[in-house]
Amino acid sequence: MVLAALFFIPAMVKINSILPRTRQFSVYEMDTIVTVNTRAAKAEKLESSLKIRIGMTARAIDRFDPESTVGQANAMPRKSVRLHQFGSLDASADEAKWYDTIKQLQADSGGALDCTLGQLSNLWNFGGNAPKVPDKAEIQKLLNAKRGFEVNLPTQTDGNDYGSIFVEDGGTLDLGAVGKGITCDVLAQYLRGWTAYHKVARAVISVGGSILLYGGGAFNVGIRTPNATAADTFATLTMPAGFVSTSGSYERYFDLDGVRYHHILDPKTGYPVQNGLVSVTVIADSGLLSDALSTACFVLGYERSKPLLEKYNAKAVFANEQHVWVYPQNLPYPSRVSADLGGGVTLELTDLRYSLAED
Amino acid sequence: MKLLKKWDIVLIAALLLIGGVWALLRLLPQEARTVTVYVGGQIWEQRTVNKNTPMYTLTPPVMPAVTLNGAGTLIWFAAADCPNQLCVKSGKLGGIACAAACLPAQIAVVVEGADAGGGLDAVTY
Repeated sequence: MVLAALFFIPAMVKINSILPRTRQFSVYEMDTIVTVNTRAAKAEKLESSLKIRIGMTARAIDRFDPESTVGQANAMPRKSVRLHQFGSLDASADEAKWYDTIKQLQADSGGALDCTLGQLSNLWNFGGNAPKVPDKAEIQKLLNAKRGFEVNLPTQTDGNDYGSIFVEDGGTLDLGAVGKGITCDVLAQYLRGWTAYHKVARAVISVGGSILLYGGGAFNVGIRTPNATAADTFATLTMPAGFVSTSGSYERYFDLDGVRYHHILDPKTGYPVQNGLVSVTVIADSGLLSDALSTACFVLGYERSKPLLEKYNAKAVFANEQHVWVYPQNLPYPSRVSADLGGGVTLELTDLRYSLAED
Repeated sequence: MKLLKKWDIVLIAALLLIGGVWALLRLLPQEARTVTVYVGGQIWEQRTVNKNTPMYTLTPPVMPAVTLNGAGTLIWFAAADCPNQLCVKSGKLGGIACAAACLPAQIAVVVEGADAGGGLDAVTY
């Protein structure tokens, strides 16, 4: 019997290491809080690995870091900068693919997404101490400049060629509209690999409000109420694992002479988008897509976003101060407060000030 | 012949008790939460709080100046020396909202161990 007891304790220790444990942690990178909530085996090891990948992603895309890939590309316009300088971020999260997808999204959105307007963001200085309305001529000069970027995909698969990018001298690469989603993709890819060896029952990762949902079962995601406290939500999405991002005019803004200037800029005019929308939430197959599409759809508005959302098989929730539109719109609504977006995704309005609107 | 002796039963009961307590500790939600304040990307203050934590005030070394108040498992930006005060408008953190940042002051606050609340797994914004 004593022998049995001696086996019991090591067995408990072993079981303890195999069974999933809940673990929460946060990281601050790229002016963004990343909160990670996992239920996984070897949770402590998983935490360190995820932290490393968050740091590696930041080292690749943070334009304010002169050592980052983006920082180097901006500092040396028209010169090719090698990608993948900070270690392997796993094959499917390859940097070259990010830039290729961004270029495609820029073209498909008719320029509503433009990741080369870093200088324009600098002019407005939304995240700084003294944001200001820039001079019209300064804005026009930036918009008129040749500002694209080129990406060279790897030509070999021997592990020594990771591709490269170069930026036109009139542009400044700024991945602010896609960086949170890219980070979600890197972490999702790592979790998939981890699952091959250790159990990950569930993971919910928020990269500054862009969400990665990983694991089985349904998840409930609240959409923050515009212009309210961080605890207020106006709707709840119930959905399977996936990616959700929101672009809102309430996140960064300043008021001047009775006018509100928010940080989502129309690449055509250089000024904040003024189409009545305050929030656009997108559910897509990757973090990059959900993040990029939420910005592009905010710029385009509900009607003009439909072809883009259809092309990328994405779902979206558009909101102004009173009404909510969903895509795809499966009419009739069961009620004025709930909608079925298909694919197991439903929306329920939880704030009585809002109601669902039809086309 | 008796299958189990008295001390065998005691030992089994003790092992079951240990196993039960272990399972309970794993499954019960943790009451304690961690408040972390980041300044310039680095952890400036980290403290464990619970529902009985008395009110406290933090004044991180940042410009524009920011004052944080905390009580129980909640923390909030009480004042900010800037015109827009977006961080103050974010309200109390610790439940459905667990993180907020002030970009001009390069400061961020996050409460770990907090459920999103209201049956939510996360909030997108």
